[in-house]
Amino acid sequence: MPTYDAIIVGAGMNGGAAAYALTAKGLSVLVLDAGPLLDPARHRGSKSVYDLPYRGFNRPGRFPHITQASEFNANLWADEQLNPYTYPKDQPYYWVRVRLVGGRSLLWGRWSLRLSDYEFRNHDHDGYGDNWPLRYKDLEPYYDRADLLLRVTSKPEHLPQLPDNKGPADNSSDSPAVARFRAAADKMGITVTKPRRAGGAWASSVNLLLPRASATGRLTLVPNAVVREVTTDKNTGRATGVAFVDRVSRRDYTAQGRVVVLAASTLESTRILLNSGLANSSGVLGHYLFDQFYVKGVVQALVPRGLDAGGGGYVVRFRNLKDRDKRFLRGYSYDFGTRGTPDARLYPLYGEALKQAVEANAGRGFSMTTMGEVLPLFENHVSIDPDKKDAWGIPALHIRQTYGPNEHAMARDSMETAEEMCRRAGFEALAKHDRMVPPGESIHELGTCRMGDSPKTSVLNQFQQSHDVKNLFVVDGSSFVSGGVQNPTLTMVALALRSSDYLAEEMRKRNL
Amino acid sequence: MQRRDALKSLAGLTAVVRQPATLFAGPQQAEVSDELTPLPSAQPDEAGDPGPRRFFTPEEMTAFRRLADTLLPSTGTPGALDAGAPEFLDFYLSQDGPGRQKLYRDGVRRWMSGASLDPLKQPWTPQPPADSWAAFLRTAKDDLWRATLSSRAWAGATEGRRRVTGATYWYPVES
Repeated sequence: MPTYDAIIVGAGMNGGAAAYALTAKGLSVLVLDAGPLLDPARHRGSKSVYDLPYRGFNRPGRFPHITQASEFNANLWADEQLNPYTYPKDQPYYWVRVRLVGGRSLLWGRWSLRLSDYEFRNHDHDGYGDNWPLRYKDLEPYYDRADLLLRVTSKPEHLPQLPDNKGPADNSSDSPAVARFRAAADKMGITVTKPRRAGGAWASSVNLLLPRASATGRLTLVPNAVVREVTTDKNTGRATGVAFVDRVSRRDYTAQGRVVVLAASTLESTRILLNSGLANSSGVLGHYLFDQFYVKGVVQALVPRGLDAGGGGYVVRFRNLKDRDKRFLRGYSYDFGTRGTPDARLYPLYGEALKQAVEANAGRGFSMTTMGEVLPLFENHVSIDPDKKDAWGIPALHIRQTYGPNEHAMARDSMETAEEMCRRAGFEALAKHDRMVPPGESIHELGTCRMGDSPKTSVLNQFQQSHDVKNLFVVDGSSFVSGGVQNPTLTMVALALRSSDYLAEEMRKRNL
Repeated sequence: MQRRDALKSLAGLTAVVRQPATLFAGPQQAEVSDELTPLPSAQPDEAGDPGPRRFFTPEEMTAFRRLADTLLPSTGTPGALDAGAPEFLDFYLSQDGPGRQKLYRDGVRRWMSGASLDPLKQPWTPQPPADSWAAFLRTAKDDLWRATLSSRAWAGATEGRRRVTGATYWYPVES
């Protein structure tokens, strides 16, 4: 039975990044993923919505917590019956998962934004929460590498709160509608920039990262491996490998490695650690769960007739940078799109008048979505549900997260500000609201296994290495100390690359 | 990387994929028989029961069709009746949860008793209306609209003009 230099749990973007970096450094790597391997040639087809059994509505009740699931991609999302979790009755949590090799990188929105020292040093800035155990300059070289790996395109703006990406510049011109909106925002002191996204027809771990690791000849990938726990040597306390269950046969297996790297996703990695009874001398494992709150369609509007629409953009965070807002801490951003046709539900009409209104405004739609920072709180946490297990007999998570007054005040301000931006641009608002989606729905869950300098208040050090178990690393979003408003994937990848370089160097020095 | 290149990369990836049984020995005490009940797995929707299913009574269905025609009549483009939207929703509701079934059942009965459509003239809010009649009307309007735009009749009548009805479809991934 082989002993690998490193066992990586999870083949999503973070596991893929770690596999890429570690195999490049000469390590033999075993990657285990809980799901099967997607074969686009076999599993992908094309259908018309009217040929689907439920006309695109999806089978009733199939995905009570995955609003992103369509009848077209329903077979890609994790089945909640097989993979259950619980939450307090009055505090719904929407845990959105993909259990396939590649994980959610198969479906992500590809937004790739850097954090700044407004996040890494947030306590220094406003006195709330904790600083990260690293600064922007520590991560910048790895952001550069991540940008190139993911082929991020962007428009440089030279903003301290949103550092520029390394990839190719987006020099495309704005549509007249976007240009007008940008000009209106500019007069309010708010920056509107191009989307910053990973490029290509597909931007997943399985086409960008794992093939590079595979090309070294040092990667072994095992799909359908549902990891139950990290195994340890009782004498030394060191990790020895993992115990896992074959998803299909449900047979139990173990694998041995000199180092274990969890990259199973924010909550799955923490679940594995909780089920392993490891890495929690601080008592904060599972705590400080947060994400980014979304107000989808915070304002929906019509661009003026005769003004060509098309494309979208990103409104960079502007609150609580140089000044201090008395209503809330931190800030929010928006993304927006133009040219859609506003949904019929937005019109207080029915019958022929409704059809006429929809037809008359086809292509004039404008919609903004708020993405707000959520304060990490000890009270928001996950734990092991004493009664619930998944289909493989592994104890499931109980998840408890609510949004507080800071998030609600921010959502309210984001609605009022969005409406004002539209008014100044001459866009006619059809609807506005400040109702946040339930926690989890943004699919940006973070924290629960956070980094820090002190073993007394954090689980991991700045290299995502367990304070308690030196040959155990957790290279995903669970390690975040705070989240900002930026979509987290790029930062996760940069962190995984940095930690992998450290891991390889420590192994070379025989410190691991 | 273009899609074709991406697919080539995936094909290369399969070369490094190993199954546990070829790599690891399972602990002896965990030895299991081969007669395990298969896990419930995602079934292709086509495998669902295609037989006729009904939620509304004939009288309710007549009333629901009348409501559908009122909310979304046939004009220059197909209406709800042209699209078979009431019949589709009748089928859909037969499999739906008790909450929405009650909303529709009670709503159609209110409609049969002559309730006013005035709640549909109220501005849209993200929160469902507290009043069940208003909530039903809003839900029915949304569902009928969506079922109509997702119909073959609508696609045929508006082909080449705007709505894209075809898209990538993913089959169950079980291997």
